[in-house]
Order: sequence, then structure tokens, then C-alpha cells
Amino acid sequence: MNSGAERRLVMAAAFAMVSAGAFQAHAQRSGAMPEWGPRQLMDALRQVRSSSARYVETRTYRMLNQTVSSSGRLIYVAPDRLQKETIEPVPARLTVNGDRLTIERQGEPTREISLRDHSEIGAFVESIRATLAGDLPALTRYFTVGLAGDANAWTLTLAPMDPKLRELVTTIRIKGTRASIVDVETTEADGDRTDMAIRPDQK
Amino acid sequence: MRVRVATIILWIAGLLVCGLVILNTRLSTDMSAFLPRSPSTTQRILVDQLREGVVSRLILLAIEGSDPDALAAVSKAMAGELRTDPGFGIVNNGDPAAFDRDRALLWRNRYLLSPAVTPEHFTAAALHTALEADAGLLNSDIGMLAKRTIPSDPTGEMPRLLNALAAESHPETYDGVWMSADHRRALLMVQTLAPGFDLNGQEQAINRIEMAFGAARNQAPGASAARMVESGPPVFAVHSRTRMIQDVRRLSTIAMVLVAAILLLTYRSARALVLAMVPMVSGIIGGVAAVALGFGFVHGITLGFGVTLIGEAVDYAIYLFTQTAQGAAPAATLKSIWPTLRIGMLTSVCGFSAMLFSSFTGFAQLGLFTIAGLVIALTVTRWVLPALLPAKSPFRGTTVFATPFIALTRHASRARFVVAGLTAAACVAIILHPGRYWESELESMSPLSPAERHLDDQLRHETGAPDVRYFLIEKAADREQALAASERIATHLNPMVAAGMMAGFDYPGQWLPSEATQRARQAALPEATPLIAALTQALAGTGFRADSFAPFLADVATARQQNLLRRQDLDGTNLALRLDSLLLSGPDGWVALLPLRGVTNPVEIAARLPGFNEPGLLFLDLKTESDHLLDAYLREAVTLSLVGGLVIVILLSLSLRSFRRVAAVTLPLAAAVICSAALLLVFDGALSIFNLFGLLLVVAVGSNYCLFFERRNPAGISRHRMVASLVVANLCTVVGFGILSFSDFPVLHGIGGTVAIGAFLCLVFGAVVNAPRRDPLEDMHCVP
Repeated sequence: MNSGAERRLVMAAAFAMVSAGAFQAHAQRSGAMPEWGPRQLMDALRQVRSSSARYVETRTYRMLNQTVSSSGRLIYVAPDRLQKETIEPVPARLTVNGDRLTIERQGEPTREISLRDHSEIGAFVESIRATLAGDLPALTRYFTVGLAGDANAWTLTLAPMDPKLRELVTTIRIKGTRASIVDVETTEADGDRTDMAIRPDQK
Repeated sequence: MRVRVATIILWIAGLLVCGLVILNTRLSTDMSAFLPRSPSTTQRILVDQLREGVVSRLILLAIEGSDPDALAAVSKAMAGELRTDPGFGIVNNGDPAAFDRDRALLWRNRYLLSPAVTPEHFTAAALHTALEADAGLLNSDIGMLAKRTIPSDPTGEMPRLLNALAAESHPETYDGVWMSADHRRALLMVQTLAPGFDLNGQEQAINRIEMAFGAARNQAPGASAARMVESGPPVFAVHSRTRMIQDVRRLSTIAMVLVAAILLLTYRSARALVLAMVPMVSGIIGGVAAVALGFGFVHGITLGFGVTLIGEAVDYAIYLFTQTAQGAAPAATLKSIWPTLRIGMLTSVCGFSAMLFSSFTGFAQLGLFTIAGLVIALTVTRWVLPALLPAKSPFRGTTVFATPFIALTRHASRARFVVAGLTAAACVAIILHPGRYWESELESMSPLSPAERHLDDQLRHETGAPDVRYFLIEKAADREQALAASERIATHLNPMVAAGMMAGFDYPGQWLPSEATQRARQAALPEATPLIAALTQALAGTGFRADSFAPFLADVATARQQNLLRRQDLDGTNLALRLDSLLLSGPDGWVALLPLRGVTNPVEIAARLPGFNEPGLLFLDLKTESDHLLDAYLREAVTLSLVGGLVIVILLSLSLRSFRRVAAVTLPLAAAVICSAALLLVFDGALSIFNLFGLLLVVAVGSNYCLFFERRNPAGISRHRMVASLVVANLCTVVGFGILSFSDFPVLHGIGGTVAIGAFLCLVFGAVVNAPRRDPLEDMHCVP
């Protein structure tokens, strides 16, 4: 009696998977077409359910004579879990899960905050997370969004609308190819910059 | 006739005087009257904390039953309303504005507050280490935030203070308010200004909280289903009092109705019912007046319980009415039973005097009330009641109740073996009782239900409200000395934290350093020229630009000159609550409290204290200390009861002048007390202090029965009538106290159950032990 229902469920799941694959294929094929735009980019990004990557982050501060850099791994699980694990020079872990941002760093107490309560940090996190999730409405809630390039080499420029974030950050520039992000560059209001180069793991 | 009128006038005048005294007396509801008067220093601090400490004024609130957004809206509206109310010291719902004020205060005073500020802290080498750490922070995920403070605070005083502040965990926030991890409860912490013992003040505060919640719920969209749960000492105290008053009122109304029904059934006369109440009501009025004169105030509890305790006074009228045959002269009966009533009253007074000498004001009041009430009730029975009664008793007074007892005494010789056997079995049960005899934990006296205790644990856990077991206590003459002592002790405790004996500690000097320490820190801050030199040297190899630290130089220069931090500067911040819970002022000086968190080795910590060389330093284990308090109290009560029992035996010996007669009165009493105690032990597991007071009452009431039973050939009164009067009196007692035992409150339940069982056993045992050798049927012919 149950087996009939079970079979229907399996078939439905299989159909969903096939159609998702077809959609992704379609999205990729249409990437080369002239009507490529933010919506198409977001559709493509939304297909990625999880991803992991290595990164190298280089920071430029006015108060320092030279740049400083760190490296580690990034893990994203759709729709709202993001983890940044610093390996060099000091091990640390930054986790965003839903509304919670947790920072763990060697020799220091764990900090945990609610993104809702800190709108500037929330907006900043959303710049990357909403991009990864292909969530255009979330991006446009916090940023003025500009897109340049084509599906193979695109640049998403985000200018914050949140006044508190605008005091800190002028622009966030995200570069990517197809459904992968390869670079995030953050320019702060005082001219300091952070550049994160991302190399996705091979599937 | 003239004597009669004079007696009544004198009685009414006496009542009026008592009434006047009572009208001019303050009725107190200060629960601390039931805390001891003369405890040790640690106990006094404990009692003061229970009376008026920060903890005693802390109310924990949770709003639940709606979605998180609605809960947050209600929390904000409520907190906003309560903050405008002058009855509350602190209203905390996680509001970031309050935290911003804390941060601003810490930031402005960071060089005065940070324990790290010493001359060595600003040498080139120390600064170099600090700058390297700063560079590390810049190269991390919090770099964007750290860079805002590094130019002003390269040595990291602010993070250090924030870590100390955050050691006490706080709930998560959602939409700017505290919320449980599952987002089902918005949490608030409210501190009343009224001290913990001021129950009326606390009740008003709770009412205002409930009103604020009602208004906030109506304002906030989608919050109509929201409910509020409350916890914390003020809530428990007020709710317990309300419930106790309701319980006493409800149960005593039922008991009164039943007792009145018994009396009506017995005498079939409303007049008898009213007259039976005369001695008791006079006793209550006189007793309250006596307490008012003796203590200057009357406690609400005294009033509530005293009325129960002198239930014995109703018995006096019952003895008189039942033992006087219809048409016989009450005066003659009274003359005959007077010696028995008098000695019975005196034994009760001896029993209750145990309470009179209690070191708990509340119990001493109860003792005085009962003693004065019984003396007055008996006096009124002896002189006023005959004046109010006609010369010939109009009451028929049924004696039907006596029949089963008379039947029982016919088999007395066999029944005596049963009583002896029961008592022996009870002794064996007591001796073989596993575990302790007395409830030695304060919790056993707590009127809280397990559900309330569970809710409190949960809210405390969720709000991170302080619930510390171990404290260090240091007394000092003034605030400055208390602060300075706490700073000295802190330096001794730091190595213990490092050694893992405890997770951490808090001390008042952390949030308000002593003036000497603040001055020393100011003096440790270098002047501009040496600081610039040290900084320049320290910058080498760190990667920082030399001109980045102008704000630091400016802030240090300011800090060297700034006004010292004073207590009033903390007003309006959460730090005020923090400090007030650590620094207490009492009638004989100041006390610094150092709560120890996560203690793993209390024995080792206590052992090291003498090495601190602080003579006044005390180690307080809250749990052990409060259990000791109960222990001391219990020991005192047991001792006083035993002394009271001994005095009763001496009194009976003097009065009865016969070993046999004393034995005939005391043996059934002792047997009844032993059997009641055994029953309570078997069914409740351990005896509480309330059971002990119940047993005292058993002795007080039961001694009357035994004295009557022991009387041989009372002149002019049939034994049948005498037994009937005892049965009616006992029925009233068993019903009255039996009803109380249905209460959920340990105190009412304990006293009620004990007296109901014990008084009944006294009656049966007294009847059996003192059964006459003659066939009592002969007496029956005398019944008119």
C-alpha cells in the first residue's frame, strides 16, 4: 500500500532533478546570448547548492606600511550557511548561519552576534551570501547593483544603501565566471581595501 | 446581679482597650521576621541579601506565545513604559542603547578601569608586543572593526574590559531585544527599587509590570496571543503570600463552617454557637494587643496562624456547655472543672513558650500571641461566660458522641495492650527509619512548586542571571576600603583562575576602582615626551605608520588629567547594577562580595584564604550556609520543645502530686506524639519544622483531654458528659486542622496534618489509659 506512494515520490524527485539539470543547462546555454543580465546570472548562481573554495585575502590599510594577507577555505551551503576558515597566519573561523554570525579565534572568547541587530554587518554579509544564493531581491534590498561583462567574465558592483554600512564601505566588487565567484574586492570609506581571490575546488 | 454587670462592663472595656492598641499598631508583612535575629556574620550577610540585596529585587520576565517579531515589539514597548516608572531601578531587555552607554563609560574611563595599567605597560617593549597583536587583528576577520579603535587604544584596554563585562553570559538578541535561543521567548530583567522584604512594594511593582505588559500587548501588532511568565524572588514572595492568604481564607472558612455545624448539631442552639465563640474571639483580640505591645508591630502571618493555634480556646466553652446538664448551673460545673482547665491551659502555655524563645521574631510573636490568647480565653470562660449565661443552662447538649468511647473503655484492659503495642511499633519504626529524621534542606520549607522552581531555573539559565553558590566576603569600614580590599583579594585570586580552581570571579573594584588605585593608574600613564619616545621605538618592525597613533597620545594625555570615576558616574548603565550587587552598605559598614564562577575546588580555595592576609575575609557557600541556618533553627526548636516538655512534666507533678497521676496524663500524650511522629516519618520520609510545631500543638490540646480523663469521680458531672465534651472538642480540632492539611503549602500542610492525627490519638489513648475500673454504664443512668 505504501509502495505506490513511495514510487510516486521517487519519480517526482527524479523528475525534479532532471528538470533542474535541464534548467541549468539552459541557463548555461543562454549565457552566451545577448539577453544575458542580472536575472540570468542570479538564476545560474541559484543552481549551486553547495560549494567550497580556497582563498587568499590581501588587506591594504592606511595605518600600515605594507599589505597583510591571510588564506584559508570557504564553504557555502545554500541557502544561508557560509563558513570562512582562516588557516594562515592565525587559525580562525567565521560562520554565518541564518541570522547568527560567529567568530572563533585562537586564544579569544567566541563572539556571536545577530545580523538583524547589526544592520551594517548584516548588509556586508548579505553582499556575498545573497550573491552566492542568487537572491537578487536580497541584494537590491541592501545595495544598488550594477553588472558588467558577460556570463564568462562578469563584475557585480554593489554600492551600499544602509547609511551605517556606507560610513564603512563604499563599494563591493564581485568578479566571477559563470556560476563561480573568483574575486571580492571591498573598498572602505577611508580608502582601505580588502581583496579576496577565490579559487573554487574542482568538483 | 451587680457583680455580673460589672464583669461584663469590665470585659467590654478590656476589649475596647485592646481594640485601641490594635488600631494604633502597624501590620507588617516583612517576611524577614521569619529569618533569625542573631546569626553569624556570614548568615547576616545572607539574610541581608535575602531581605534587600540585588538578588531579592530581581524579577525575570519572559514573553511567549507569539512570533519573534511580535515578542520583540512587546518587549520594547514594555521596557519603554517601565523605564519611565520610578519604582524600577533597572529595566534590561537587551536594548542596545543601554549597552552603548556601558561602552561609552568604559571607553572614556578605560585607563582608570583597566587592571593592566601599570608603568611597565607603556615601555617600548610592552608597546611593541601590543602593536604586533594589533597587526594580527588587522589581518583577521575583525580587522575592519578593530582598526576603528587601534589608533586610540593600541594596548587593548577596551577589549580587556569588554571581556570582563561579557564573562557574565547574556542571552542572544533578536531585533534588539533578548530572546531565548529558540526565539520563542523574549526575556527581560527588571530590578525593583523596593527592597525584597517589602512585599506590598513588590506587589505594586508586579502589578505595574502586568499593566505594562497588557498595554504593550494591545499596541504591538500580532501579539494578541502573547503571554508573560514571571519569576524571581519578589514574584515568589508575592505570589506565595497571595496564595497563602487565599488558602488560609478558603480552608479556614470551610473549617469554620464545619466546626459551626458540629456545634449546632451538638447544642441545637445558635446562642450556644455564638457564646462558644466568645472566649476565642476575646483571646484573639487580646493576643493581637499583647503582640502589639510586646513587639510594636503585628506580623500578618501571626494574625493568620495565631487564629488557628488558639483553636483550643473553643474547647473551653465546649467543655463548659457539654458538661453542664440542661437546667443545671453552669457556675457549678465551672467550679468543678476549673482546676483541670487551669492546669490544661498552663501546660499549653509551657508548650508554646518554646516558640516564645525562638530567635525568629515571627515565631516569637506567634508564641506570645498564643500564650496571651489562651490566658485571656480561659479568663473569659471562667468569669465572663457565666455572666452571659442564664443561671440554669438552656443547652441540652447531645452526649451521643460519647457512646463509642464509653464502649471502647469497656475493653480498656485489652485496648491498653494495643496502645502499648502500637507505641512500641512506632518506636521501632522511628529507630529503624532509614535516612535522616529532619528535613535539613531549606528547600523543604519553600512554598514553591516543582514547576515554579523549574521555570525559575530555565529563565535564570536563559537570561544568564547571576546564580552563584560561592562568594568571598570582605567587610570594611567604608566604601573606599571595601573597594581597595576587593582589589587586593583579586590579585590573589588571579593565580587561582590560572591554576583552574575556578573559571573566574567578579569584584567591585573592577567596575569602580578605589581612588588610590585610580590615582596609581593615572600616575602610571607616561607624560607625552617619554610616551612618544617609547612608541617610536616600539613601532620599529611592526609595519604601522608612525603617525597613526596621535589619538592614543591625546587620550593618554587626557586620562592623566581626567576626573576620577565616581559611583554616580555609573548611574543609567548596567554597570550600576553590577556594582550594587557586589558592594553592599549595611548598618555596620560596607561589604565587598566576590562571586566565584565555575568553582572546581572549593576546599582548596578555602584553604588558601588565610594566606591572603586579610583578617576579615570569609568564604561563603550559599547552599551549605542556608542549610546550616535551617539546621541551627531546627536544633533550637527541638531543644526548646524538649525543655517545654520537661516543664510540662514538672508543672503536672507539682499540681497532681502523684507519680501515678502524672504518668496517667503524660503516658498517653507521649504515646500519641511518638505514634504521630512515626506516621509522619513513614509517610513523608522526614519531619519538618512545621511538623514539630504541630506536635507542640498536639501536646497543648491533648494535655487537656488527658487531664479530664484522669479526673476521678468529678463532683456533680457525669463521666458520660465529660467524655462527650472531649469528643466534640476533638472533632472540632480534627476537622479544623484536617482541612488545613489539604493545603499545598508545607507550613499549613505540616501543622494541619500533624495536629489532626495527634489530637485524635491523644483522645483515644487518653481514654484507654484512663478508663475507670467501674462499669461506666452506671454513669449512664445519671444522664438526664
